[in-house]
Amino acid sequence: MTKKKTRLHFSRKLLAIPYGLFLAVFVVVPLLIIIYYAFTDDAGKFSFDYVKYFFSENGDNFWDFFTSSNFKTIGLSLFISFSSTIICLLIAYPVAYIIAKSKMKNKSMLLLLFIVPMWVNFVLRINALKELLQSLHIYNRSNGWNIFNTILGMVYDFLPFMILPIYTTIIKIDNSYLEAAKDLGATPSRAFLKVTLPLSKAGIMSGVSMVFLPSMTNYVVSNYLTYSNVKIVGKLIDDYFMGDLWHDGSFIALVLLLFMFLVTWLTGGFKADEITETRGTSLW
Amino acid sequence: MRKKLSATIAVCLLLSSASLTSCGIPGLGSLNDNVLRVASWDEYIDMGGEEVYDEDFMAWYQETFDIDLTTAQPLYEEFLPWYHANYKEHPEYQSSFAGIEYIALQDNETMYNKIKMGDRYDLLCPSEYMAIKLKNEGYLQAFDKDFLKKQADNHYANNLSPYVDSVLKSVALDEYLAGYMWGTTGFVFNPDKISPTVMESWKCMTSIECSRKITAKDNARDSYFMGLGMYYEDKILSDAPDHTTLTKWMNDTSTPTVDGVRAQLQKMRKNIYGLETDEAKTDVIMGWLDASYQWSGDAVFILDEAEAESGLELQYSIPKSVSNIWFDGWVMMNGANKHIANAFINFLSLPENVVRNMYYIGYTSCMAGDDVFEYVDYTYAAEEGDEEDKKDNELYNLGYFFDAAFDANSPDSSTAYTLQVSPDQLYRQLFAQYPTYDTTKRLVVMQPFNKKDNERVNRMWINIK
Repeated sequence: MTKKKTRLHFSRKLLAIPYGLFLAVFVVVPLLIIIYYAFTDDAGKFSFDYVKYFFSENGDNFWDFFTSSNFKTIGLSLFISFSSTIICLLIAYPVAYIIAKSKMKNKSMLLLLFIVPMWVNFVLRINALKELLQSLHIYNRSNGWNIFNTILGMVYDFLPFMILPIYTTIIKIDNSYLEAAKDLGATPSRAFLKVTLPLSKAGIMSGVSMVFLPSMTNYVVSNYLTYSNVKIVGKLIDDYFMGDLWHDGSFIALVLLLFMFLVTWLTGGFKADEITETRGTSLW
Repeated sequence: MRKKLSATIAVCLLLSSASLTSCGIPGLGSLNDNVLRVASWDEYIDMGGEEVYDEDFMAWYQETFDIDLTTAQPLYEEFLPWYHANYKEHPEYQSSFAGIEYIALQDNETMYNKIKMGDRYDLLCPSEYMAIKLKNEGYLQAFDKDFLKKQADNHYANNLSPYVDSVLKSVALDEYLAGYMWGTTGFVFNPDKISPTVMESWKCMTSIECSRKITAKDNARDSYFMGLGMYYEDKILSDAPDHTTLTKWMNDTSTPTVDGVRAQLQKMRKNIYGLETDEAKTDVIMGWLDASYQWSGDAVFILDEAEAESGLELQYSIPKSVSNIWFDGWVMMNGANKHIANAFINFLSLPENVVRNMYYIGYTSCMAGDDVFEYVDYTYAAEEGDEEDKKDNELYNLGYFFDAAFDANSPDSSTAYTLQVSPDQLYRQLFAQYPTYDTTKRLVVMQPFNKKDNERVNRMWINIK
């Protein structure tokens, strides 16, 4: 009687299966469903109608797009995302730089101060901000204020996502580079521009894509802070799905996906090595 | 590698679909003879419990019905003992009946989607347009003639208001839907800030007086009705069409009308403070907002709270030209346990339960009956005072709603159901709960749109908001 001993081979590749499954069920399949809905009608036949409806309400004239509300929504959304990202960057870079360069023993405590707000539920925080704006009498005061308040909310919400990647890249820059620059006669500002800034580019790019993309869709902020008077792309998609217009909603979701793809590509998100450089520290 | 990946995807798709079909999608129920599955809304039935009723009401209730409310349970739980006590003699009596499963859904659309997915209930409580849609799509069964006949123990048939009955007949729902709650839509506003005459017209939505002071509802149906109101207002006031024509106009989804409505709604959108689904309640109560388009039941709540919280004497107005009447009611799905479903509707139609529901929910019941009138009188009648006070009081005739012998040709001949109220009630809670007879003549039901029109209207609305 021979007993065959079977040994379980456990290779590291197997560890990828849970994520592979997750990816398939929650990313690939929904994406296919969205594409299916965007290009079919109720009978399940191939149809371009909903592409047309995206460009004009009656689906007859493509040039109407430039006066349509979809165009305005996407434009406004891009403006809000762009402004929020720039402001986040302008605030986050100095903060990350100062923390990274500080002589304090416990830098992560300092960093914690910027992360702790993220522990409070963000709907709560946005509601609190709404109260604040109300007491300042700038809540839903005019369209201009509404856009301002939305950007304020986005910055408030996403600032930590900009600080963290920049901080992790700056702290990893080898100090000997800066010393070398100094030895070779560079002024501190020149050393910053020629050494620190280029070397922290990966962190900036990572931060930019982490702020820009969510602020196109995070309509909780725009709804709460503007009495739903500012409409961003995320809200538009929600409206279509709530209004039982799944095909229209799916096509806009595809358009948004295109934007995401573009931004990721422009910020170099597809270059694998640069990204890994910014990750893998204690915080991420 | 690629093959492996696609194989993995295929396997996991297969697994997931297999698990879905074999054990049924979780949350979807099927019918069981011994349990009545009821789908309704949250807080849409008296839940009983402590500190729900104020002492004054409890005393009045005890005196009127001889029932102590301190031990009140949710009505759907009180039904079980009531059924076994009262239906023993009934030929179809079902001794094995074990109770009600009460499911609170979010809105009509959720209810519809659940049913489409295969969920089954005995009783549903949809709004009128969803009931029509479900009926047209063949999900519902009609009530028996016996149930709708006025006879002993048919509490629903005996107590149904003649007015609601006529509305149900006008949309051919009388055999399918048992009325539960009803109301109008109109404007809640602060008369100190905005003149009441402005609020009698749909055009208030685009007026300077209301600029950035008023909210509209964030849904396509209510907004489209509002747009139709603005679009047809002048024509209605000059032509004075009969009710059939009025109803036709207010359900018009032809292309020129949609274009006209779009223009009106665009103007409206630029003028108002914002769109809302629930937020405006607080804002109006606190006095931050001067006006808001609301359903009558919510309007009563806002008027009550505004007075209590911030001392504001708000008013409710219904546009002079036309407005919306809505109602929710019980419908039986195919395969429902008819006998128990009928018994439950009868139970809810008992005056003592109608009053409890009205008190708890704050909406107006579709049921009439002397005890219900007593309750309205108890709630709204002017305080007994000296003659000096009394001479200011107004008479408020509710004959159209409560009087079975009410004759539309001589509405003033019915006087048995007349309240004596303080003059402000003509514009406040009482008016929101029971509009005057003249007002009811310009209330129309909004039918469900067909699929194509529904898409067009929704698309238009999304493009405007």
